[in-house]
Amino acid sequence: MPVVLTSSDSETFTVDKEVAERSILIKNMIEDVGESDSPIPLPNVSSAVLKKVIEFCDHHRNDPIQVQDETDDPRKRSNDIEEWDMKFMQVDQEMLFEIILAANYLDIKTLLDVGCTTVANLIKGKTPEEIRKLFNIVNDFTPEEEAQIKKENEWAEDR
Amino acid sequence: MNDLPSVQVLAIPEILCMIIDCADAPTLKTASLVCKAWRSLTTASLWRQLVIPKDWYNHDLTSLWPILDRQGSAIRSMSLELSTAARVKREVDAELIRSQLTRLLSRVPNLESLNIQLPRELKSNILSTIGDNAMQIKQFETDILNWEPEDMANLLRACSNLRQISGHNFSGDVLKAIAKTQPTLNKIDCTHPRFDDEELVAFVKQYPDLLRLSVSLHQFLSTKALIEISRYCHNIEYLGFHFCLGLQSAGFQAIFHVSTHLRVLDLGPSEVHDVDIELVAAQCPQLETLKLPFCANITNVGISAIVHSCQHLRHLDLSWCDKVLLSIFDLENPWVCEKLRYLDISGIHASYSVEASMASALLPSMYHQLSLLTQLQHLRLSGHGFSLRLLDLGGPLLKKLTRLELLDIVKLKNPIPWKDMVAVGNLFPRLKEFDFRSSDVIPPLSTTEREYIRSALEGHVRRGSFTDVQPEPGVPLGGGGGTETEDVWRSGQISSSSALKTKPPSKRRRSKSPSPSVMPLTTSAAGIESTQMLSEPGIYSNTDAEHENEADEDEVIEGVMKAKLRSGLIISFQLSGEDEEEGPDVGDGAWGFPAGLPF
Repeated sequence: MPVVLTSSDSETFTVDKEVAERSILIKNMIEDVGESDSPIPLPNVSSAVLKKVIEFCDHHRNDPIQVQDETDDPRKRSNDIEEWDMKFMQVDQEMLFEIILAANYLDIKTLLDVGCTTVANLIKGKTPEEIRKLFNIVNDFTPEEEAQIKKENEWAEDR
Repeated sequence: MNDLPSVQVLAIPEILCMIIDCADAPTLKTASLVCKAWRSLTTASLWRQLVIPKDWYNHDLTSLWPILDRQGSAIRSMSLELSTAARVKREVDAELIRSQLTRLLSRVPNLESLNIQLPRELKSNILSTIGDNAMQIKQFETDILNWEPEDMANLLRACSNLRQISGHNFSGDVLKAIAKTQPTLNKIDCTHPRFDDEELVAFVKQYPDLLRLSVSLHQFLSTKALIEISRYCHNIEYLGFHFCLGLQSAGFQAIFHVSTHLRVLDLGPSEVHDVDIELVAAQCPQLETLKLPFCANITNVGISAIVHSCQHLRHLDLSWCDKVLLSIFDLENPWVCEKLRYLDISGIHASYSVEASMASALLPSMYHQLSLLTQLQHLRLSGHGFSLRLLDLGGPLLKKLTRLELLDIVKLKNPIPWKDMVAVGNLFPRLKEFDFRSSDVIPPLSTTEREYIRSALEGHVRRGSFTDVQPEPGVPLGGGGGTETEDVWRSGQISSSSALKTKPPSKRRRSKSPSPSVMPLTTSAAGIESTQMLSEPGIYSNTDAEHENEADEDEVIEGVMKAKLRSGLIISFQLSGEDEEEGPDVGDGAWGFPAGLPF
């Protein structure tokens, strides 16, 4: 039973139900509305982004639904991306963040995780100033505050 | 501007939080300097854990106090460390320790986990300071040796949330004190305990929901105790019997049979047998960690059962189980534990009755299986009695292990050229640690040595023919230009080397470059023969030209040759082939006190 999705720029996509239901938002919508042929509007997602999101969900259609693994230290998750996902995320920065926004809106946890890990890897090895430039962030610290943080950080755990 | 997707995303605190959660410690530190919003989100992660390195109590921590006053509430876990010297010190200022401890604990109101190292001389009454200041802790670990049961009871009365306690020398009375005062405890680690079977059994009887039981270095813990424990505790997730050599199959079987929730099993050196491990494979589907170092009774039969049943296994340590053969790697029958992150197969397949040729035949299967374990982060392959053929046989398969962070190949059967060592390291884009000994490396020729060879070649043979000669493993070079060249080079370097002319040429020229500190001739002659004959086959094709290219990249300073791998890791070896002994406290500088602080 295929599902029809409509992007913000009115392009329609027909996808298998199990693919569409990787999105908890869509899954809930289908459950609420019941079986129906009418397209599901996704006004927050453009067709270019939706296409990528569908590609991701299609690739992961058979993955088990993620259960929170409590034994996993969140700090240890860094870099933990499948090779396919890593390639999938090789897009320009704007698209990367568009995908994260869409994953957040559509409630696709795995895609959100992959997106966030990609951003974390992006800032790895960069200086604070480079990160600010990259993301248009304004430095709101005084030089004194900055010096103090640097001194504090010497004590923070590094291992 | 504000419509940029990046700005939108980073304005959502939950998402920024997720991004920061993925970052490692250095990145967190950088992130904390970006802006105030980022700073406030990094604080919790950065300050979750505080380590006061050696020695925590006799340093002036003036600069730390104001920081702790600001960040102390984020700290959940604190480790107070001592050097070995401070630990064995005879004269101890207990008052100083108390006051320092009070000042620390009073600034970390949300502490959950405390690990404290104390001088051996100190008695357990120091614990009252902890009871007074850290009542909310859930996890407590210490190396106190002189336990008074009353001190334990007082600590436990004060800290009513304690879930886990780890310590040394617990006596039966200390166990009683715990059982009397601490109904919610569910994890206990005892190193070198002084209780007997009955006292332990009486203790666990009180804790049918015990999740973790670890007893190390207890020679007299008996099979009977295990059988009794298995009657009361059925929910154990973590079992450790490190160095409990009195335990036998009947005990192991009783406890494994009821421990269907087992996730971690640490049997260190023990008398565990294949049948017991097969029972684990059948009974414990949740098993994540299995440590069996030096388990001399275990063979490939037990291990095969594990790797073909426990699909959640992440950590497998088989080091020095000499009866475990490489036949655990079976091409027909791939392992089900695809999530394995840590694998130590150092020194396996070493039983005297095993033919080395069998190992060679199984190497392709081994590398094939390893290449399927794509989540591997740590791989230890040290101390094998057979050639690993890491590059020619392993290389094409091992390079699939793109997540590997640690590779240990210490004590290779035969040393390999430096160029190959670098190539092995370069197989792994994320390598952070690469362990090998300097004597595992054949140093490249120095410029002087190449000059000798060149001049010799010009006098005797045409240049082309030399590079065509490839020494066969086990077959001394005879007749070809190679031998001659080597000898000429050698005689140029060492005056009275006529004795060497009949020996196979040295492939380990480490003492020659870069500073010609000539090694004693006698040892070289003897040592050379064996190393030459046994060099790793197939990767033994250094030509002069290759060395020339390489010399530009490698850096030699004071007898140490260094190279940078593509992962950014810098590896090095001593040209002398002798590594410095690492003392227990070596490396203080790397994780000692922050630089620039006055101590």
